[in-house]
Amino acid sequence: MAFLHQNIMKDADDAVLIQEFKRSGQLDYLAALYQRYMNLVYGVCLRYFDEEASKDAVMQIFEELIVKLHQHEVQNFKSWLHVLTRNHCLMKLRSMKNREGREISLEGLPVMENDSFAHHENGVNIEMHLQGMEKCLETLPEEQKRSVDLFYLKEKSYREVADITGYDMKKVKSYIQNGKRNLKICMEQQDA
Amino acid sequence: MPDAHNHMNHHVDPELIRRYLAGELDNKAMHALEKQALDDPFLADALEGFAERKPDQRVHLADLNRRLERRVQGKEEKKGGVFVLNYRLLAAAGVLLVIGTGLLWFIQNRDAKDGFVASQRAMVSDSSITDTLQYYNREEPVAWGKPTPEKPLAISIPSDTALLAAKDMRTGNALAAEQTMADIMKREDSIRPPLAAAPSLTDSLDGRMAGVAMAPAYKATAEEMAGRNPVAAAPAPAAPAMTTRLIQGKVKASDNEGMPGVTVRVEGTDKGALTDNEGNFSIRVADTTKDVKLLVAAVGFNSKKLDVSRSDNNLDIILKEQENALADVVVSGYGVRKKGVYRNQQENVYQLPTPVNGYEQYREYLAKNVHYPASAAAANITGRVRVSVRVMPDGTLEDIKITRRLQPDCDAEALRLVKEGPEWKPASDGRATRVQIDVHFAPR
Repeated sequence: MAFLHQNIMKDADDAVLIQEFKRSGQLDYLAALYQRYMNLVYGVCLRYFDEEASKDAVMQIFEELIVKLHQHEVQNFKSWLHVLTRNHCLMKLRSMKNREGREISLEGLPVMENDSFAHHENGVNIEMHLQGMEKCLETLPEEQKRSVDLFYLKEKSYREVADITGYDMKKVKSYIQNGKRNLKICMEQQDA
Repeated sequence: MPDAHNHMNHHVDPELIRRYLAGELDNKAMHALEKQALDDPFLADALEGFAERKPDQRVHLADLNRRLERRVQGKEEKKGGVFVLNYRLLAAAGVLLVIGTGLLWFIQNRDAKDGFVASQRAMVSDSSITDTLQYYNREEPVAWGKPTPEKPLAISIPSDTALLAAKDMRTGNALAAEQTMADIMKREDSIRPPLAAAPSLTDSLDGRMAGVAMAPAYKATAEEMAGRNPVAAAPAPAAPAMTTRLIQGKVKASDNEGMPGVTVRVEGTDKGALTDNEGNFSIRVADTTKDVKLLVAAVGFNSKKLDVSRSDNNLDIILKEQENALADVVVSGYGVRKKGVYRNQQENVYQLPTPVNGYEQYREYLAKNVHYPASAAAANITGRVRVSVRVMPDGTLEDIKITRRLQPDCDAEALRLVKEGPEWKPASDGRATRVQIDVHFAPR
C-alpha cells in the first residue's frame, strides 16, 4: 500500500510504526512512535523519581521497548506502554529499596496485571451511557451526583465544580472518578 | 475536527499539560483535558506526576528529545562508547604489533640489498597506521563486533602503548629524513607523557624502532617516507572518502514557530533526525558531491522534500499546514476481550475482528460513501454515530444496532454504511465478538 508508505512517519497508526520498526529494525520508526508518548512516560516516572532519574528511566524504557517489541505482539501500544512504564518504575524502586534500605511506600502501587491493558476505556461509552442513565445517577451519593452532573453534563472543569459546590479540589476529583465508576457498574447491571 | 485528531493520535501536547498545571487554560480547555484524563489512565497517571513537580518541565522534555535523537543516531548511551573504543584500539594494536614485529624481523635478517622491499613493508605499516588513526578519529561509533563489557579495562593499556609506539616509529622515520631536531623534540614531547603508563614495553619498542629508522637500508627510501609522513601525522582530516558534513536547520510552521518532533530523513538512507523543542535538527551525512534529498514530515502538515546542495548546510524549512487534515471518519474497534487469551505465545495472539482489508481501507470506504443527510445539514448537526455490531465466527455481521445516536437520518445512514460495507474477519479465537464503529457526520 503506497499510501501507507508515504505517510508512515507522520500520521501512521501506532500499529503501523511498530510493524515498520519490526520489519526494518530502524530506530527512527520506534522513536517517532515513542515521541508521541514520551511526555506521558516522563510524567509517570515523575511520580516515582526526581527529574534526572526520571529522564534516565525514560531512556531505559526506550531500550526496553526495542527488545520487548520484538518479543510481544502489542495491540494497544499506548496502554501497553503505560503498564510497561509503571512496572519499570516499580521494579526500579524495589531494587533501590533493597540496595539502599530506603523506605519507599509501595502501597497502592501494585504492579499491574498483564491483561489490564485490554481494557482501554473510552469516554464516549460513558457519555452514551449517561443518556439513559438518569436513574443510575439518582442512586449516587449526593457529592458524587453533583460533581458528576456538573462535570459531565454541564461540562464544568474541576476548578469550577469546586467553586460551585464548595468542595475541595482533590475531593471533587475523587467524587467524579468514583461517581463515574459507580455509574458504570450501575449501567452494566441494567444492560445485563 | 480536532476531536477526530485526538482519537487518531492519542497524543497529548506537553505544552497543553504545562499550561493546564500552570493554570493558564480557560475552563473549557481545562474541562476537556480533565475529561480526557478520566478516560485515559496513562494521561491521568502522567498528570499526577507532573503535578508533583514544578509545572514547567520544558527544559527536561527538550533534553529528552535530544537524548532520544542521539540514541537513534547511535551516539548515546553510556555503555556503548568506551568499550567500542577500547575494542578498536585493541584491534589496531594487534595489527601494529604483528606488522611491527614482522618488520623488525625482516630488517634484522636482511641487508642493504633488499632496501626496496623493506621500504615496501614500511609503507604497508605506515598506511595501516593511517587507517588506525582514521578509526580512532572517526566520530561515530562503528559497529566493531559486539562490545563486550566483560573485557577488563587493563587491556587498553598495552594497546595505547602500541599505538603510541607506532607514532614514535614515525618520529623515527622523520629522524631518518633529517628533519630538524626541534621538530622531533616537539613531537616527542607531545607523545611522551602518557608513555609512563607502561615504560618497559615502550622503551624497548622505541629503541628498536629508532634502530629501524637508522638502518642503512632505510636511508635510500627515507626521503620518500618523509614526504608521506606529515600527511599521515596530521590529526583529523583523514582520507577524503571519510569526510562528513553536518546539515543543520530549523523546521518552522507558517507562523514562524519552531516545530518540535518533526521527522527529517535523508532519502535513500536510514539516516534521520527528529527536531528538538525549538525545531532544530542536525544530521551528519557523507560528504558527497551529490545533492542530498531531505524528507521532512510532521502530523497534520504537508510533508516536504528538498534538495540540499553541498554548500547549503544551514536550512530554514517551513511546513504548511494541511488544509483538510484528516478524513472526518474514525473507526475504532472495541470489544470485550477474554482475560488470559491475550498474552499467549507469539503465534497464538488474540486478534479482534478486523475489516478484511484493514481499518485503513475501511475508513476510506466510510469517508467516500457517507452521505451527509440534508435534514442534518439544515439543522446544522455534526457529530458521530456509533454503531455496534457482532462479528460472527464466519465473518457475517449480526445484531447491528446504534449505541450512540445523533439524528434519525444520520443514524439510518450509519446503519446502511455498516451493513453494506466491507466484510469482516472474525476474532482469532473464533467467537462472536462485538465491535463498535464510529461514523462521523460533518459538512464536506
